Amino acid sequence: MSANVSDYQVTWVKDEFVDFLLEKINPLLGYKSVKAKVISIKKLPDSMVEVTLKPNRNYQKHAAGQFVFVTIEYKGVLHQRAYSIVSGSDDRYVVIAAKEQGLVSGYLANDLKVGQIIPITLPQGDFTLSGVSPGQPLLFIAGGSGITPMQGLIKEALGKGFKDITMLYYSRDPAYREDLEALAHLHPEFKLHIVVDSEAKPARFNEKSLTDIGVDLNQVHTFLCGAPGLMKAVNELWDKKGAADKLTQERFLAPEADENAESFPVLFRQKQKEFESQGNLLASAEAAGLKPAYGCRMGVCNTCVCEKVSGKVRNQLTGKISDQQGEQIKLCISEALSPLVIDA
Amino acid sequence: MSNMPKFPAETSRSRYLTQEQTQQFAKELEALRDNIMAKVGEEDSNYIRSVARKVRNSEIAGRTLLGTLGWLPPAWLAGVALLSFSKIVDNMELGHNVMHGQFDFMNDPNFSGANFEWDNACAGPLWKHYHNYMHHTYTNILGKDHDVGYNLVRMSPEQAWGPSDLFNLPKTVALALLFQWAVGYHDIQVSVDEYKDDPQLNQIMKSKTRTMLKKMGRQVVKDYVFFPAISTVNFIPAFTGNLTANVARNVWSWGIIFCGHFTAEAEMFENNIENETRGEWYIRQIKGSSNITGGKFFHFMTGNLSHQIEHHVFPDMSSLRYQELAPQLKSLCEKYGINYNTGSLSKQLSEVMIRIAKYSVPSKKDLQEYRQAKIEHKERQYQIEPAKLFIKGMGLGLKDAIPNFIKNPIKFMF
Repeated sequence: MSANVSDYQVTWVKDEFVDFLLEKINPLLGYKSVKAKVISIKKLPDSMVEVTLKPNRNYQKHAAGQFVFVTIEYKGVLHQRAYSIVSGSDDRYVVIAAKEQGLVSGYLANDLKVGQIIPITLPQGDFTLSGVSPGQPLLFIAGGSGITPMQGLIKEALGKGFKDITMLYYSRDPAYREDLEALAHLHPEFKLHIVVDSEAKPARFNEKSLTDIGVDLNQVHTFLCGAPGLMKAVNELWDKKGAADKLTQERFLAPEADENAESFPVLFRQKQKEFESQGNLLASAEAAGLKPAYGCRMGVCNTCVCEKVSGKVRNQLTGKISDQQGEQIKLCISEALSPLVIDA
Repeated sequence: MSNMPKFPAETSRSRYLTQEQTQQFAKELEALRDNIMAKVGEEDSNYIRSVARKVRNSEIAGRTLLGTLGWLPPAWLAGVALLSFSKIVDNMELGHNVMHGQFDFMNDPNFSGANFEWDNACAGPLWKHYHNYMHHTYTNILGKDHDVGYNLVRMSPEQAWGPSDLFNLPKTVALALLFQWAVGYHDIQVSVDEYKDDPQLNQIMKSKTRTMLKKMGRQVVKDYVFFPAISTVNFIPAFTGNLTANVARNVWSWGIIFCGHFTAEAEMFENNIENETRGEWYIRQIKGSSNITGGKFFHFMTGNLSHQIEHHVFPDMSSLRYQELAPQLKSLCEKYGINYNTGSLSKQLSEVMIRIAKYSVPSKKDLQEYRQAKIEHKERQYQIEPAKLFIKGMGLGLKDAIPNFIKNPIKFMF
């Protein structure tokens, strides 16, 4: 119970107050906050949209292949989503691209305005070339909007002198086709294979897909980003061939919650304790010997509020489902509907 | 049979409801809630952002006036008015409501109840414990809800009378003038009582006391050292201006808060709620709270605590919606015969003052009980007359003169 006060730190000046003053001078200024101005918005094939952002000085240079979280306000609620950076590490702009599905991407495609300022985060993620030795042949497998981190990586690999680069790109309506073809034209060491399929005849990835393009998966380091079906097929094959350590992948889709199952693993991130939650979260945590801060145990007092980093919970009082990352939940009236990570 | 605590049942102006009626009432009340909560969204988030802007702009303007033109009386007055406005709105409409989690739906860390800090001597975590948890859960339950007179002022005939209660009115004046410090200290006395059997009592109190001192220190340095110092030649006007603004906020928030639970018809309850149902809890909240009538600006300046009843029933509903809920809740109460206590500020506040005056004087029964207790327990605190208490406090016996509610926490401080 005393956990929430034991490490109380006095805030002399709130960061947001400094930002409030700085924004009066220039809305892009921030004391510590990372923000970006929308420079341009461009429609791409495959109902994708490309947004070019000019970050403020608090942004740190990204490596090709990394992602940033973008925050937008929709109907009074802040929503955050991660987007791979299309632009390479030498680009001072952060270019992201999104497929028009889901709330945040839908907002980027339809509601975002040029000149608008949106909060972003520092670049994150290890879907990068670091750790791959320069002599190594590279294979990039992309599906649909999984193309977004690939261009920057390929350009960087070419710049770093990788001699053997192959790309296998599945799409119904390939975005960045001209850019990639121009790149392949310019650099003979970059071999581009675009597979255009359709809903009626979807392409399936299998071992033969690789032999067709003359790639031995044990000889290459592979970068993978795509839809869950493609990710699964690739992972199974690489596991089978014992090459899982030479596969770098980026996943953006959270696992689906199985609403029939009752028990889910929950991680309390700050305490670094994991437990199985069945029914009420607070009670489950306590049954597992954890002591999160609590008060009324009836959803009134707000003492047990924690940030839910990821996963899906149901409010047991109202039945409301919370499935956005970073939402505040009250442990005492929440029930896990998926594995959870909680900032507690 | 209802478990509803029926502490002075004979004086209640509300009808007694059966278990079934109580359940039905709760159902209808929650339907009102669902209907309003479905609308909470953009309007509310825009609203609270604009409140935060008002707080900041008025603070900047007020401090700038005091710091640059403070020697000019009209500038000093305007500066104090702006700073008082900023502190009142920051504490009441912004801080209090945000810390209840009313705007957690925005998913914005700047408006998240878990992180918020306000321009007040009370540290956020301490406030959330004693106010959000203890006060809102155990509203007006004697011995559990320490907001009943803040352990300083006798508010109810069910509280044992003692000679120091003769000073109810002057103690109230002191409480009002120093309200933020009482609020800042309050969780310490609440917690000493709450955790008295906890093996970790010492640790808990130490941590809470340190939290209290850190936050109080920040407030003192900010208002009485830093801002006067950067005002250079205007040191004195900035200092007195900050002091006046703090006192103005103290008195105003004290008044609004005491009107919320201590008007003539606001009921007290005995500590008998083990099996209380959700419906009974709602009814206790309504019976123990009172509203204040007024215009839109008045409601804003009270942080919508003028809708104390609505706030106590649904403490995490966006405060912007209480004005909309109020007439619906009132007619629901009328339908079930539950007293919906409301009135003008002057009516409610004079009822509070009359109540404080009334319970400072012992009834015959109070006196008998007091004498009885004196004989039976021979406790020191009953033997010490207030005058002697004062003299002892001046150095003859400091230890005995300091009341327990202060002495206890000090023991754990370091």
